[in-house]
Amino acid sequence: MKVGSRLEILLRQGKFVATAELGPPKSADLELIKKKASILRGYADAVNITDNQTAIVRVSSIAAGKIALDEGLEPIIQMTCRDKNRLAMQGDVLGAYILGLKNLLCLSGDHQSFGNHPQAKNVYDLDSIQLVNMVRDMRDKKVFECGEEIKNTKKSEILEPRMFIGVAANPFGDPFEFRVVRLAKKIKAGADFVQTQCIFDLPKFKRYMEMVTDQGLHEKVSILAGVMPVKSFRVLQYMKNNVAGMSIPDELIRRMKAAEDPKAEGVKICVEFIQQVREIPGIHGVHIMAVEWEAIVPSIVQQAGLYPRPDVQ
Amino acid sequence: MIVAEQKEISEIINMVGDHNNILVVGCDTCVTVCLAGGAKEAAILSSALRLAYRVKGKEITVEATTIERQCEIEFVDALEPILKRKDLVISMGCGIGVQTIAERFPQLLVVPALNTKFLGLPEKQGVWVERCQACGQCVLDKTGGICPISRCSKSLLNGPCGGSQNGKCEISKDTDCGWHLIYERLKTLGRLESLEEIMPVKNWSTSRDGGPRKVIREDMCL
Amino acid sequence: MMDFTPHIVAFCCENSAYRAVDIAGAKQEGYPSNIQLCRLPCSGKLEINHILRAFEEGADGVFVFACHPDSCKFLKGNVRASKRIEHTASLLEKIGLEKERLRFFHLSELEWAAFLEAVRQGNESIKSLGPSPIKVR
Repeated sequence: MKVGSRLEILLRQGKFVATAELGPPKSADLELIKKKASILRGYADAVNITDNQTAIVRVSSIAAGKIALDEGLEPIIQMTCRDKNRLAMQGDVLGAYILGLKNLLCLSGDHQSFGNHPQAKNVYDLDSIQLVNMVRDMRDKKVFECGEEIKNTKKSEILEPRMFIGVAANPFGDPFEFRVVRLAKKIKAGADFVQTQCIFDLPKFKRYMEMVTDQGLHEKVSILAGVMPVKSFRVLQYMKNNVAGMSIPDELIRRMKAAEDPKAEGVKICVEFIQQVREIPGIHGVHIMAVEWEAIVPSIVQQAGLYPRPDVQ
Repeated sequence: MIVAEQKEISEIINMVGDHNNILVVGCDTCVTVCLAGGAKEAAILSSALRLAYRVKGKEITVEATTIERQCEIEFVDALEPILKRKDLVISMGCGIGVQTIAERFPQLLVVPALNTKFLGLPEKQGVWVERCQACGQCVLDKTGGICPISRCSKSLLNGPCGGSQNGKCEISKDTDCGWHLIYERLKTLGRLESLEEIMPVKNWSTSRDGGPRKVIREDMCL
Repeated sequence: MMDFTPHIVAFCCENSAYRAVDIAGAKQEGYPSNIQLCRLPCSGKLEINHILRAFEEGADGVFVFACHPDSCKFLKGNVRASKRIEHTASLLEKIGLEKERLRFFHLSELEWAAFLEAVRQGNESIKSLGPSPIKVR
């Protein structure tokens, strides 16, 4: 056991895990974080706390993560390379750890041009792979990026932050053949678990997973398949046309369009995807990305037969 | 070369303000090639400024001249005789040109007519593209001669992010994904396996992040 | 509206408008005497600076006559001229001159009547704009 977070324990025990997402509010709305946390409590083994997602300013992932932790969730703190340099990142890793946060998802981050501060200067001191490597070295080699040991004075003891390290993988980005190579690099850098981009194109995802299992990568890392419930066909259409790195079959759009109750159909499709990805060799869990629709997660988890979630002693 | 673009004329007029004896200085080097600040552009700007003030009922003197290179003191020296009684110099050089003139003639007010954009090349007539960010630590040997610092929107060093699709960057369908280009080039070169290696954290101290930079060649110093 | 005789500079491509003027002359059809013709080897030869200079020298209007699209002797001179005119018009506007003082026409050498009509109409439109605000005082 590397860090002993609930997520790590469940994955080590071979449980099929379910993670969800909690988007912190765009204002200092403490109650909203608590409300979202209470919806998700008991329905997800761990919950991603997004970091200024889509480059829009929100409550910091670590602060919201601490609230979520106090509310009984197991947070996965997201950290992007867009907003912080290596000093801020390492300081935040230390800070998150002493607050009791033990899972960290390392991301490149959406470019700031998407968000509400497109004139901002971006950082990208490190890329996501280098971030993984740095956090791993902090944990396993007990050193900072510069090579210095993690301690206060020469004589004091080393107190390193121990994070269970996650990465994202987009099987639908291009060049397709490079996607598995990139995953392998992330594993080599120290990734413990992977959450994929949301899957709408199952055949393409299966091709990707075949390449992953051929190389035995699924034995080195836990792979959680990303799924997303959508409320209407317009969401799919929007993502197809405007979100880079998404593969959305027209057939799915047609099915959502034809549905009498699109929300119910969206949930049904999501549940079907969960059941189907579960059958794919090398998949260790699902990551349910109900963006700004946290309230639907409990019913998806229930309908997918994933409730109740296992206890960890 | 250095690629620049002329500022909005209204911004330049604001900088001129109440000055009435003005020298517009073009530069014969990069900004001539990128059609932003050569002799022709200097003549157009001078004429436009005279017209703009006459419309307001005011006569100002605007002369234009162009020197070989605004980024070398020796060439900037040539301005001295024509600077007499000038109360404003508008440099049509890049940011370096403006500063060189200001440094050489500290008693003169020197203002920029251009926005210096980047280091790049003309892709086709009328279109210029960025190729280098002067990071001070070239990695082109590892990336098939395509720069990830300037051509990836996030300056990533270990391959394309999840936003790469159909060879384009997530920021715009008009922007090539730099890492897709690198991938294709390395494939052509039969060197794809080099992408499997993790490129370590970059030393940005050689870039602007290390503070103002200086190159000293002892063997060349007098 | 003031009654005045505008000073107009007409840049004419020698392959079209300039010949049209000759034909008009042969037919004893005159053009207004306040139009000052300036012959160009091609409308593409016209520089932004030439137009600005004309205004600086006191022109109330500048007309540019190019060949019809696709019939430039130098293939794309007229296309370039058209882009340059567009750019110049926006520059004029930004420095406080009405962009309508600059007009662009496509014409073939045979269209002498159209030339006269364009000049007449253009003359009227410049008249209605009044004298250029940058007239040499």
